[in-house]
Amino acid sequence: MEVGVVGAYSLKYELRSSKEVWDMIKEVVEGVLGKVDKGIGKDEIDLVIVSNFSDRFGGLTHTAPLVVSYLGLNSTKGFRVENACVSGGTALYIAWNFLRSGLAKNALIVGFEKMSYLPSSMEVNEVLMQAGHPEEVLVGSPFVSLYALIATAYMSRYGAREEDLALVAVKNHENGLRNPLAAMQKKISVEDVMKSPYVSWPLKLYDSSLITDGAAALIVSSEPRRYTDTPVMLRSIAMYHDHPGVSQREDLTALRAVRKAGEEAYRSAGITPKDVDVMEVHDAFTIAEIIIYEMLGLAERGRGVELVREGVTAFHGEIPVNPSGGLKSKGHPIGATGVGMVAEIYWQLRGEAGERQVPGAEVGLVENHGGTGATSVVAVFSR
Amino acid sequence: MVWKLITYTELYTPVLPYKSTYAIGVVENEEGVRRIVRVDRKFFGKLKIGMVGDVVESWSVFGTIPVFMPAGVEVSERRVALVTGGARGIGAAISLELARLGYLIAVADISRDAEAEKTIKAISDAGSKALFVEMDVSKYESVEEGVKKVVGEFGRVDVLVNNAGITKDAYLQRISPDMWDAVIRVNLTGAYNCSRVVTPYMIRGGGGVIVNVSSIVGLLGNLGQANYAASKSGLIGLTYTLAKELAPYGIRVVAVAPGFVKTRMALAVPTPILRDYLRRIPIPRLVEPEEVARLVRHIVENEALNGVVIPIDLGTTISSPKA
Repeated sequence: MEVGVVGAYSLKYELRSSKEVWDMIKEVVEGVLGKVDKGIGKDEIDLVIVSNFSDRFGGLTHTAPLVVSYLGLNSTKGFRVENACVSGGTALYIAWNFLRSGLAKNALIVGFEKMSYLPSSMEVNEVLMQAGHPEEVLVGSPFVSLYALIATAYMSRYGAREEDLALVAVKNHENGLRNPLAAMQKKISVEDVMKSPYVSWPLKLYDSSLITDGAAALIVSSEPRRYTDTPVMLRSIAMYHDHPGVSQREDLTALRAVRKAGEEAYRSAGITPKDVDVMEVHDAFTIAEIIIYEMLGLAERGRGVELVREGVTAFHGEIPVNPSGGLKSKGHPIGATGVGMVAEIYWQLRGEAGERQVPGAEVGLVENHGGTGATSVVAVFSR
Repeated sequence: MVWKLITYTELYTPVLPYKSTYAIGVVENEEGVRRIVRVDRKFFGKLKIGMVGDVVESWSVFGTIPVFMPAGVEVSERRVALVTGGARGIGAAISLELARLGYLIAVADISRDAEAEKTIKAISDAGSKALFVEMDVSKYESVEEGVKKVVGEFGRVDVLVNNAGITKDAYLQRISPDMWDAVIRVNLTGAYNCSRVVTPYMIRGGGGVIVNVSSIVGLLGNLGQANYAASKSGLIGLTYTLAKELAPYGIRVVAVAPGFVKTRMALAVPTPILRDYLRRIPIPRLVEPEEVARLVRHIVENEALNGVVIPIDLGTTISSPKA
């Protein structure tokens, strides 16, 4: 059975939204329903999955009935999923399985997070930190520090420099300039990154993704052509795990879950990395994007930096990665992130990405992960 | 059991519930067992992959935290204090007291005069080292330049004493805008300038102490000192706020509020006013600069003090009517 995306909608991500989360949810639900080419009835949605990491980012739980209520209270079933930063990818993974098994025909996925709901980054980081290994939480290791442990090990083993990591931030910010949905549309230079303060050495403020408010929605269908002549087909989706703790991993510089999910997604879709025209990957910190290149087979181990140094993954490069601006420039409202990544690929493969359109993109990939890569979902899409 | 550091980071972004900076590492023993550990911030700038050491369990209310203690790492380098207005009066006494405590002293003052030379000599006689920094605390660029010089020479700043102060006393109608601005700029803006410039160095150095020299006048007000009292009250607000903001970085901020101290500034007060003041306070004398200096030394040494204003005033604040 084929499964395809037939509609996508996203709010502009913001550093501090004035909207309450229930209004954000309502806006994306109405938005995505209105974006289906041939239209879709509210009563045709039989599954709702809400992706949201923490009720401390918006003050709301039990959001599925809220969405079902917006749909007019029919027989739709729904629930919330939480899988840290890959809540959105997980929602898609579950929807795919429901649809493939015939348990549902049309799934509405809603992702949201209002991180500015908490008054300080010290509190935001505490909530996020709780997605780590219990020993990491006990020591008091916010995510930036865990990625910094990975970065230190990576730089020491492969001789990468802070300036190399900075290139990822520069690239993604340049991409974000073309994306009206991006929270921070600001061109930055390597020098700007290098001058930004350390948050957890060797990672600096500009190596880090943005604490953001946002919401996005998708409609995924097992009868996609009934709703549009140009659906974006979900060719494969895979989920893998790694040990949650960085210290538990045999290779501190690898992201096993990303590698395994990537391998399976490529295999199931019957493609190789070379066949992919555009990617949205989880650049929570610059080091992550470098390692993701290697895990997804775009570069040999230790040579990920060469791709960004040589412009291979730049907007005009051979395989543009994060044309949306990524988590770095577009933003990272946790529950919305994975949903928004799929929305971006949907627009890219339909030729609707405006100024940031990757010309002729036919095959797209999303890599969304949680924690320091303890859970990764990789999905392959095609026209 | 010997543990080897296989990766690490220095965390400068405090997270709740700990509200603290520290290093975090992954260590491995001979059997290949790995642990994530915390490392005290005093090791900032000194960690290296491959370092060996011990892991000790450190109790906290939030749980028992594994802490890595690197072996053979020297952290006993000499600490550095920057004292503004350090050439004379209370500043000189503080400079000398901290020198006796083993601090290297950056004496910041507006000009290097005979009094400055005397203070510098006293510091070196006390077995420490002084660096004179010509600094106009009211000018941000001057502070930036001065602090750069201190860090260039001594490598770090652990203690900042915002002591530089002036008076331009008069009743309100006689305080010209220039007199108002001059006092606020030196006494209050100067403390802001120095705190802002010094803080990033303290954070990278694993913490520090900022002592603001306020005054009982900042607590009680005083006839003829609207500008001075406002500046000294301002220092109290600055102290409370920075004590909250900077505590997670290991920086404590405390203010002292001396009564009239036997310095040129107090002796410039007209004698009848000074006599009248002494008649009204429980211990009728002036505070010695060395007494203020000993309090500052205590603040530097006692790590439980943060965000308080400590009067040292011979009972002025309890006298009735208020002095």
